[in-house]
Amino acid sequence: MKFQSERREMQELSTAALPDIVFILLFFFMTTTTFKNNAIQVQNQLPSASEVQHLEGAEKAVVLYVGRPLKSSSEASAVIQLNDRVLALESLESEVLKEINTKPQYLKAHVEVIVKVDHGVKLSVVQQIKEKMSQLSVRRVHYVAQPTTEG
Amino acid sequence: MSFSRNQAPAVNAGSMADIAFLLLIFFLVTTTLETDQGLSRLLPAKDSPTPTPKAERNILRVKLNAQDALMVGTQIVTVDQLPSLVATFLDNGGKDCQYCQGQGQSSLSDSPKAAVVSLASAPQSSYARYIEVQNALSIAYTELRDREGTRLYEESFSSMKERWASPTISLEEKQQLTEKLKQLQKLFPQQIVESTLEPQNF
Repeated sequence: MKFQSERREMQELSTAALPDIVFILLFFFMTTTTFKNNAIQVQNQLPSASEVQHLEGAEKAVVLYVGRPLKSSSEASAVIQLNDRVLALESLESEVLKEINTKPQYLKAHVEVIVKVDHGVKLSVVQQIKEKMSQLSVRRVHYVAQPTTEG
Repeated sequence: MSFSRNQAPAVNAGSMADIAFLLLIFFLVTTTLETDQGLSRLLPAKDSPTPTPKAERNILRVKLNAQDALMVGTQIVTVDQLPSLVATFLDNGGKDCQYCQGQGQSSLSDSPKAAVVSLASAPQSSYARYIEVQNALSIAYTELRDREGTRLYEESFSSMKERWASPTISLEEKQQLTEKLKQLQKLFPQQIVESTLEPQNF
C-alpha cells in the first residue's frame, strides 16, 4: 500500500524560472514593436531609386502619405494622409501647421517633411505640396523611395 | 534513506536570470528600427530674393513633359543618358576650376559652383518618372564627388558617407569625415532649381 502511494506522488515543478521566461517574451515584444497608430488609408507603392540615403531625425519630420484612396476606383484623384486623417489639398497648410505646433519648441524651426508618394500619382499633387511647404518655411523635403541594389 | 532517493533534487534556478539577460541583450543588439530611405531635396525659401540672372551656359535645362519624355537643352534623351550629361555639364571647367576634368567647352558651365540644373516638370508627368530623374541627377553628383574624394582623400564620397553613418564609428573619426564630406559637397554643390513646365512649352 505504501509502495503504491509513493509511486503516484508527482514531483512538483519548479516555477522559479517562469517569471524570467515571461520577461524574455515581454522584452522581445517591447523591442520589436513599432508604434503605428495610423493605418495607411491610401495606396502607397513607393517608387525605386538607387541613390537613396537613410533619413535621420524622424522626430522633427512630418510624414505625408500621398496616393489614391484605398477603396476607390482607379480614376479617383490622389489624396493626402497626415497621421490618421485624409486631407484635401486646401486644408493641408493649416493641418501641417497644427502638426508642427505639436513638436517641441527647439524643433519647430527645423521641421522637415517626408513624403511617401505612390508611384502612379501625377506630379501636380507633389508640386502643390512642395509649394505649400515652401510657404510654411519647411525647407527640406525627403522623397521616400525603395532602394534598388544596382547602380 | 529511500525517501531522499525518490525525490529529485531541486533545479538551481539562480542562473536563469543571467540567461534571460543574455537573450534580452541579444535582441536589443540585433533589432534595428527600420528607417525610411529616400532622396532629400531643398525647397526654395518663402521670401527668396529674385535670383541674379545667370549666364545661359551655367544653366542646364532639363524638362520632363506630360508624356514622361525627357529633354536636356534641345535634345530628347533617356533617363539613362542623363547622369553622364549632367556630369559633363558640371565638370566642364570653363574657368576658375582647377579640379574639373572636362573639355572646357564654351556651351557648358564655367565651374560646378556656378552651375545650376534647372528641372522643369509638367504637372501631368508621373511621380515615378520624376523620382527617376531626381535619382539620375543624384547619380551625377555622387559620381563627381566620388572622383574628387578618391583624388583628395583616397576614399570615395559614398564609402565615406557609409562609414559616417555606421554606428561603430568613433567620435573623432566622425568629425574628420564630416569635414571631408562637407569639403566635397562644396566642390560640387547640388544646385537644382525646380519649376513647373507650362503647357504651352511642351
